[in-house]
Amino acid sequence: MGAEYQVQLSDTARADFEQLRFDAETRPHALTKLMEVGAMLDQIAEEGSSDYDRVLPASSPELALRYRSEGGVYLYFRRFESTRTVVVAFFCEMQVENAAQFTSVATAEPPKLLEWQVRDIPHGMEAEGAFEFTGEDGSRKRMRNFVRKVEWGDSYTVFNHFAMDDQPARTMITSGQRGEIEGDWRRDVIEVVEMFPDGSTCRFPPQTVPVWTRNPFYEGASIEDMFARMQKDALWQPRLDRIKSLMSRRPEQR
Amino acid sequence: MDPTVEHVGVSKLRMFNATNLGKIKKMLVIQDNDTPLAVLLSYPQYLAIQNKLQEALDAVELLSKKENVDRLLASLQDISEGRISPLGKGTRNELAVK
Repeated sequence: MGAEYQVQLSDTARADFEQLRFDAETRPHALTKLMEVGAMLDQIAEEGSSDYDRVLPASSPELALRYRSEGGVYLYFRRFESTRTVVVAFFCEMQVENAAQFTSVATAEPPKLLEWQVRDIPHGMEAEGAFEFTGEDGSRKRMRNFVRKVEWGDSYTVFNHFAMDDQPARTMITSGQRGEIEGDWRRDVIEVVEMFPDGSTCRFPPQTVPVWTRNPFYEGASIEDMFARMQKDALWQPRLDRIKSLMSRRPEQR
Repeated sequence: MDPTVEHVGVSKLRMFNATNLGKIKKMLVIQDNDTPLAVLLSYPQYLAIQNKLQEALDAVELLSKKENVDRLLASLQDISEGRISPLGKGTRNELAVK
């Protein structure tokens, strides 16, 4: 994974960046934000990453900016292909409505955890769960999920299989390379391969992602506590959004 | 008239199978007795609409706060007047170093 674009900062972004680094010394939220910005800086510098940029609509090309978002942090930038340069204009934090909520099945009730088992296995762990979602019309859908994580020292492999009542099952294999640790966070480089019911596979480009090292699977006093914490945690929805975003892209079908 | 939209009757649904569903080019408004009931579109079209909608929502949120607009304009001014500097070797590595 080569960093093919040189990243530059505008003075506005530079000032914000330095302030954020200063704040991260004492404020966990700022550290989280700093990690998100760092992950996005890695991503926008990668070869071929422009395919995944979003565009801020503008009336003229001079005003148009590209952007990325991660965990509620939005990074605005401009690409100069002739010089292979990305200039970061600025970044900010926003809570934006998710477009998917206008078209997905709106839930009148929070999801219910029906079953949850966690097992230790040699060099890793396994988890199995069943969740129930209730639609506005009272219809119920169940999702079953199986996760196995195997540790390989500096790297790990996660097998994730899940299926909802009337939808094809999905299987994702994530290979992760551990990165630097700071506090409760680690910056890993992950590669994801998704397997589809028709036998085809899709390999996603490597990405640097912030990983929360305080694994909620192990910390809950009870299953209900764990599920409640996962639902309430501010990081949970951004993580879920990120996974959805990843799953909506199929750049390289094999 | 939008050439990318076609109004069809409910009976048209019977013609679709796994092969031709993936080849839909137009957005089909399915109607019964001139009453629109549903819309059928390809998955790439759906994703494109979702992306555009998300971009619009993001833009509205960004531009609805004066602070954001001020910083946006200031940063564009920075770029147009050359007030930019390299991120710096090691800077990203220093992100995690207190």
